[in-house]
Amino acid sequence: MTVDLPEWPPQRSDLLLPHSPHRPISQGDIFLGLPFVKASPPREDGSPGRPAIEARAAMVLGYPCEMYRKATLLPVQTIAVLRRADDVDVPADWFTRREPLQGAFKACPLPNPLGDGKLMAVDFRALGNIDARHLQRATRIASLTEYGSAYLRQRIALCFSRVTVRLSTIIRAGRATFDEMELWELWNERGHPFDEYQRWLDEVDPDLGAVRRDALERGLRDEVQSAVLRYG
Amino acid sequence: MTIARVSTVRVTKNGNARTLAVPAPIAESQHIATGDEYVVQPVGGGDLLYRRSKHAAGSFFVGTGADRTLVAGDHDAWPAGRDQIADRGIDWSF
Repeated sequence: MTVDLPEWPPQRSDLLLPHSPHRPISQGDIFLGLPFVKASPPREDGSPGRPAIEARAAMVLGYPCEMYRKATLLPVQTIAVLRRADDVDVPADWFTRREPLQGAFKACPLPNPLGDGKLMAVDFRALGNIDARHLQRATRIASLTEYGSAYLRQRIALCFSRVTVRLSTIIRAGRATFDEMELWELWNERGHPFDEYQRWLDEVDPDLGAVRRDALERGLRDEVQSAVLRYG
Repeated sequence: MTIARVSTVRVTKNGNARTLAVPAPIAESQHIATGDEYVVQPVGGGDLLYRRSKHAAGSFFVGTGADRTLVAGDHDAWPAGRDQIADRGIDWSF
């Protein structure tokens, strides 16, 4: 499997996809104004403090396979707050240095994810749960490219294990899942019912002679894409 | 973790440039091909760190001082090492 990586530093378009209302909700999607439930310190008498609910820009963190049951988003989803990079100790030259900085392991810096020109960072210390009904495709402001998804997963591994995993390795491991989501987007663009894609993927395709999902996992993306284009 | 076998590289003059000859067994095991580009960086103690110019290199040092050994990059994952950015911490005002 060929994996082409952009030169460092990556551009915004290397990491973030243009907004598409047809793309299924997936890991790395960014939303504005999500209700983030923030814990608080205990009161002086030791009783639990009252949690606050704040409207925050946040990123969905779950792996797609654990976000869905078939075509339905499971009710409990995990998010992480997006903060100004400086507040997460990420220097302003993160995406202009010739070599990537080996640091800020608790964060995933992103160039201009909100479209206001600012360097931001996902803060993996600021995690929360959210009901899936708050995650609407119409209100999502950005999604990650395949490279961006791998970069996010590399940062997640750094934060919680202090191990750097090669980006091409992460891309290879996640290629079939990324293809599945891309073709789901294509399916939606062509006006097919959103909920039927996963069932369709689990069917045997007579032209492929295999279950379409299995074909995707064997790297036959173009063939399954042709099947989407033939459908209906 | 694989520790690269210590071996000698040799510098020759090639016009105005210098050519660094890598022993064949290391070149083969680490998939180093003619034309590959590396960046070189002094890392103190007279040691030089060569990394593939593509940023996904997996080279890193193990050990300290004179016992430091370069583990050449052909790994899927490697230790991240120390965080190079000072951590100011976080409190409930985030």
